[in-house]
Amino acid sequence: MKLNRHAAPHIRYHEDNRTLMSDVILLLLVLCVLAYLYYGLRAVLLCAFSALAASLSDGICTLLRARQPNLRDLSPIVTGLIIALAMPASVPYYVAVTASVFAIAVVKHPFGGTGHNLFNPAAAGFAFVSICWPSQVFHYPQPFTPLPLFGEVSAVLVRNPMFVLRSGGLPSNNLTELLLGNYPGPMGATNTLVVVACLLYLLYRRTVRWQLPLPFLASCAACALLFPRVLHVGLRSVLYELLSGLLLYGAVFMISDPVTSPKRDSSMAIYGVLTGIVTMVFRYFGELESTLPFALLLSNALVPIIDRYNEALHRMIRRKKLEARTAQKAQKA
Amino acid sequence: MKLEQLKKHRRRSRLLNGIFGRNPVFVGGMALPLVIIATTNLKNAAAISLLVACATLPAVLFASVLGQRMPDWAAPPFYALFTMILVLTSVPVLGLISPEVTDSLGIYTALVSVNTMTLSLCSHHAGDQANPLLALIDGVTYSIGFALAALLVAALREAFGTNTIWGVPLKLPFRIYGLQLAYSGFILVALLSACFRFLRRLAYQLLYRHENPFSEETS
Repeated sequence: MKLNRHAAPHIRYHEDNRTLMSDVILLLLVLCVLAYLYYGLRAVLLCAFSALAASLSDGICTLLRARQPNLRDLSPIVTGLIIALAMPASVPYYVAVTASVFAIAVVKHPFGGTGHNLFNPAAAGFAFVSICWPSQVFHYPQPFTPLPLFGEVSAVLVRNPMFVLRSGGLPSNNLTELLLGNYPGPMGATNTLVVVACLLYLLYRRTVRWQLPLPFLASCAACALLFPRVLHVGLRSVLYELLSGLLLYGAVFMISDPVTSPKRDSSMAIYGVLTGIVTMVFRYFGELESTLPFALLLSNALVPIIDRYNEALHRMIRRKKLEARTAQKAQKA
Repeated sequence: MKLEQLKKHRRRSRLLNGIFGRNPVFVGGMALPLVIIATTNLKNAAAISLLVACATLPAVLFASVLGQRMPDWAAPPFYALFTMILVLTSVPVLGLISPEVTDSLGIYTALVSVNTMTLSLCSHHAGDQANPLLALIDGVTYSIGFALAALLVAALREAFGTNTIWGVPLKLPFRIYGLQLAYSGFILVALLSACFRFLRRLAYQLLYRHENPFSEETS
């Protein structure tokens, strides 16, 4: 009888890192195509340069750490695409490239590389460039405006509904515009229907656990309902808060990062609620429009504490149940 | 490595430790707030380096001469007080660099008096086998090492953050405004520290290979 010897594990889950990343890249490419339809070839070039910069930085950093680059690792491409799609189509190429290089070379590899980073690289890269070049990152072209491929963008750049909310006003965009993305905003974050479809697909494929995005969105909605920035408009205030800016996009692609999020389901829910509350607090009292990346970085720092205390709580509950069962058995005997 | 050569190398490197081998900022992690927060431009860095040098040299000399006569519990506050007096008397010297640099430094002028580099050098040289000459050499080399770190960080932050060097405009294709903020100082010091340690290890490896050349006879 011939015995085949293979190394452990002998029972493998059919999904691995490559399939998870492939799912996300597929959806990000769909958003890229939409960005092309709205803003032309410049949007695609921006995504390409960002992904290329992230991949090259990842390769160089891996070599500097005296390791072999893993060509099957698609995480730098995901990081590059998430960063590019969070930006306006008119942003200079060097901004997106700088964000990608910062995300990989400063946030990811110094903390251990793929699977070991403490902070979300895409959120950190976006946060860095939004501080360095706020005027480029927070001014958006109108959809279907022709943009030049290279050189300075001469099109009229306007502010997002987020800016209007921060100033205390009510955005003039109607619900249809917000759902279809026909308003100035980040390339991949404006088309709400498609982003929600992406979320449903990721949930169906189990790439993303529902305990991450749904508690996050629920806590944001609760904060917007209890403390609306625009008074006397009821649920419209909640809709504007959820559908403008990077909130929904970040809930699908940033907060669901499996490396930087907690491990247990209940910890994920706590993390989601915490990130949602911090995001809304930063929105109400902060200076910048896009507050999700900063809130996410703060929550990432608290993930080890959430994991530790939640594990201790579950261990205590298990111990109490075991003691109760033992006492019951002793009584019966 | 042969013992005599090792001893010769140790004696030589002991004199220059503070600049490269044991740089107080990049290797020792000392006086970090002064380098991270205060060095937003070269003038600030030069002013801080001058203040640190003016405070460290006399304090370390004093500690090496009279330190062993001081009780342990009184030493740290006494050194801090003594350094504070030195800083106060050195502040007018900053006017040589720029008239507004003192306002620009703000509270960090006072914080020089309690920086870890000066206090640790004082406590190190206040022992029973204190040698004023070695204390002076350490004071000079550590001050040079601190100045090297501060000026390097400041040059990068000013050149790429404001496109100037010592207030002189530079023609660079881009400007990273975030470099003027504190978090950039943290990241820059961390990256430069990693580079410094890499170069230090490389230098030691090259020195070892130079002292112990590989020969076929010994293989």
